[in-house]
Amino acid sequence: MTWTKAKLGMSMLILAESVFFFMLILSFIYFRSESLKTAAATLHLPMTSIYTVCLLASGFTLWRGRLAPTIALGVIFLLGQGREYLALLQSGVTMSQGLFGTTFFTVTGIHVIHAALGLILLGFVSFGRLAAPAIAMFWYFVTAVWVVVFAVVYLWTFV
Amino acid sequence: MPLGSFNPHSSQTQIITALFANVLILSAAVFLIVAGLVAYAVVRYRAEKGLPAGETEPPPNFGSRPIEIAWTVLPILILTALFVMTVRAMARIDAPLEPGRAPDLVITGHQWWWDARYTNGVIAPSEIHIPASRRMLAEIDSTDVIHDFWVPQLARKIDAVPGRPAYVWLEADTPGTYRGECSEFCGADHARMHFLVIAEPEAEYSAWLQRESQPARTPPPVTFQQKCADCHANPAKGPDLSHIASRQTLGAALSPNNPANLALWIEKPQSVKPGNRMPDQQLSGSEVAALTSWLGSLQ
Amino acid sequence: MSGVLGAVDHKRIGVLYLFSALIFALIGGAEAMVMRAQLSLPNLKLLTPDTYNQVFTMHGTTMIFLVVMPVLTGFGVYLIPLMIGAHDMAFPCLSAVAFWLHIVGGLLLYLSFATGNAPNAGWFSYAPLSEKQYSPGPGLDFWAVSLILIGSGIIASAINFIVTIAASRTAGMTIRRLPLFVWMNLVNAVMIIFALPVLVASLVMLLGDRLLHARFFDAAQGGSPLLWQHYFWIFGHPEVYIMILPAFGMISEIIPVFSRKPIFGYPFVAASTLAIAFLSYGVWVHHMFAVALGRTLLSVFAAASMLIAVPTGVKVFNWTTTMLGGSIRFTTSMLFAVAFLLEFTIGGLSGVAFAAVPVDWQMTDTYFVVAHIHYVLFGGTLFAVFAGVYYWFPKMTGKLLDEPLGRWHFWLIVVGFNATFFVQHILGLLGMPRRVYTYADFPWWGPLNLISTIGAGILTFGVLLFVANVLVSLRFGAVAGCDPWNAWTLEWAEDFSAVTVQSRRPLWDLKHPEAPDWVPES
Repeated sequence: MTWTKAKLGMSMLILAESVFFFMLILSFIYFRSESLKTAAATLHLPMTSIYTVCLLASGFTLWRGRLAPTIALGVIFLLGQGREYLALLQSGVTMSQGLFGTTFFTVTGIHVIHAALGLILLGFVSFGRLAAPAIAMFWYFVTAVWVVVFAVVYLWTFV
Repeated sequence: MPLGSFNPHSSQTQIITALFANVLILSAAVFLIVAGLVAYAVVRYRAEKGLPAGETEPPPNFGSRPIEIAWTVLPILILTALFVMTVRAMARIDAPLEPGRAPDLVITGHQWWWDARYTNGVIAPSEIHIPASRRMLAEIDSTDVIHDFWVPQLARKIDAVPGRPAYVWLEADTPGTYRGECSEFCGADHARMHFLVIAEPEAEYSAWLQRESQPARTPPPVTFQQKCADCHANPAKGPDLSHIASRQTLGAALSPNNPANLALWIEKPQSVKPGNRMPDQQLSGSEVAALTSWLGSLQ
Repeated sequence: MSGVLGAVDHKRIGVLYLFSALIFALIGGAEAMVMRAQLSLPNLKLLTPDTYNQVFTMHGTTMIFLVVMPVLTGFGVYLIPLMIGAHDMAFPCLSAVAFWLHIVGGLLLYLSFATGNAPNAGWFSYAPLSEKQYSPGPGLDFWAVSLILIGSGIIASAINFIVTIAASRTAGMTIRRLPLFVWMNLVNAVMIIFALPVLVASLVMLLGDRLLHARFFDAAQGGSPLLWQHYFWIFGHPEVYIMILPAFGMISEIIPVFSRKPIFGYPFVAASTLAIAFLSYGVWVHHMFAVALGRTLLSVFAAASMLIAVPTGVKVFNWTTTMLGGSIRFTTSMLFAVAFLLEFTIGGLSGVAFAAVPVDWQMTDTYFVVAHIHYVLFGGTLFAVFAGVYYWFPKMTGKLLDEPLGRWHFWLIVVGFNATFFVQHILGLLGMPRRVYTYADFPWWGPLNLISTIGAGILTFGVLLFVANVLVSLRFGAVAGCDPWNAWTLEWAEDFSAVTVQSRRPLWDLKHPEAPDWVPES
């Protein structure tokens, strides 16, 4: 990979964002023992796995240079998250429900915001407004963060 | 508080003062070396008075590895010695909870007063009596925000974190009255969250504890039940008043305990300690008088 | 006005940062004077407790985030491209974005006064005090949101610094030939990448608690107040080094030039910077020594906190040795640089005192620590900044600051600063806690506080004189050439693209072809 200024700058941003996500995920882990019961009772591993695969697929399509499927898969992921949030809210799990609600919504919510931002940026790229390689790095990052979140929040709860 | 760390009155504070004295000597030595070198440079290597254009440039000296190693290794050695002193002092001062040993005192911080609960159930707000020359194991708690229990002449300070009790030895080598302060910013009246630790000979301490455990002899006036008991009957909400007349001070060791101050406190607490949780209740003159007189009888 | 709003070039952005820092410094200084007035005598009632608590919170937050960080950023943005032979920062628009984020954040913070409820829980806002239940007004919400904006701006500018230094150096300017100012800013920028996001995460969590009823720090709901402390200080400790490294960089440029000798031990000064950067992430618990965390944990952090004094000491020794054998010119800039050595040493030593945990068990949260922080931040960073202003003013404006006024400024500051803060060491030892709006008439507390207040008054005169010097010199100052100090780094070149870089002192090599720093191939 040839380093351009844009890619170097984006790597530094990704480094900073990684520290940010690390601290949030750490708080989830810190409170995990108090959250486990609610997590196991309210999270749906199979459904979320499907949306996770969509997000991973979007990383693959981006690698192949296919912007439209990337954005489409990303949108599906966000819709899936939205569906999950709705289900949780309806079963009484909110930010203030307890430590699970607090840590789950903070970690995944911040990730959703970054995913949405990433999709907007990819939209700009498809209109020729932004440098593709640096923005692609950001989207890979969004995907990678989700892999960690999925492992810590979902897999670790059930497996 | 008089003279704080300069006037230690317990074995642990004497250890701390001694450690600090060592740190001070070390620091003074380092400072004198640096200042000495700087002063020497400033005097000895001052530029000749003259125009910059005619300046002769001194020969460059880019560095010296042996010197760098020396002034890296030497400080490490000195700091190692300091570290050993530190760890030793910590071991002698610290009060870890031994299994099976209940604390002698449970001291709780509230916004904005302290109280001590004794094993016989006595609750003493703001004035904590201890026997001189026998150390008590105190548990430090908080009901609301983080406070810090600090009586500089007698003990190390320790944070009172809600939900996380901590332990400290409370001891005094001579009888006397020692002042304490809250030492972690805790809101509006953090500056007025004082307390006294009153160290007494064993006999007097026992007598005090006995007196404190007696119930009040006269029933409260109606006003008290209507306007005061909501908070003051609940030790988490308001300081316990059962023996207020035996205290030297009012308002968390803020003002001397006398009828005039007591009346003022009852009538206009916000004028004495603005921001505290006791509201001005627009009591009538007779209500104030009744409360002052009754409280004044609670020895 | 469009010259301000539309500015993206590094020189204008740099000056904007410096100007904004000056305004906020005057505001923060006024806040300090208000506090010192209230504390000049025991039991004064000039301010209500809550007003005082708002003022000290705003003073700390302002000085750290709206004065020190921006002034150091401003110097960096202005000077780094010049020193490395670049035409601008790597991302000029990002420079502007970073600047305006910090302005918007600062304005938002001060808007809180208009609500009658400025933040009042201290600049590090411990939980549970910072929770809605105990701080019900909007003040802390303003505080958290504004710091997220300011913090984002700081991260953006750090990214810009790293990419600029990595990618925009002129030919011959290898990493090992970087001026120490640039090197320290590079290390600093990497530290920012790893520290500021921790602050942003903590603030997001706090806002979650306050606005969305989350449970992170609320002990009553199962949350952990200590988590806030750990998270905040994992940011907060590296932050204090972030506030001093660029100042170290300035001193490393100024002392050699006015001693007429290259810095002694360049590789060790550079390496010790890396050591400080690494170690700074391993000492944060020393802000929590008064919490019962267990002797083992405290001992580990005590050792690390003592160790970090070593690379800092290495720097002080190298700067001092640079002066030995030199030919020292006492310009105002050099006066401040030399005073920095002494004041910062005092501040560093009082810091080491805290590393001896039982000493911390008496002295933390007292005026002893207030003395410590002001000796390192004011006697350290701010003195270096004054030195830097006198040194680089001619580069930025083409005029020299007035030296006689500079001398008055210097002595007023030195006398005022030490009078204000030295006595605070003693007040701490006498038992005076910090963050108290008033105090009882204990022996010596009144007189020492009064001395401190008088000192602050002298400081105020000194600062006002400095502002006067700047204004007067902008108008009437002696014209400076492009290299008034006969210095050696690229920012002083008339046209840096015409200079071949073969050593750490390219202009020395140009002026002294018979004795260049680089060793000729033979």
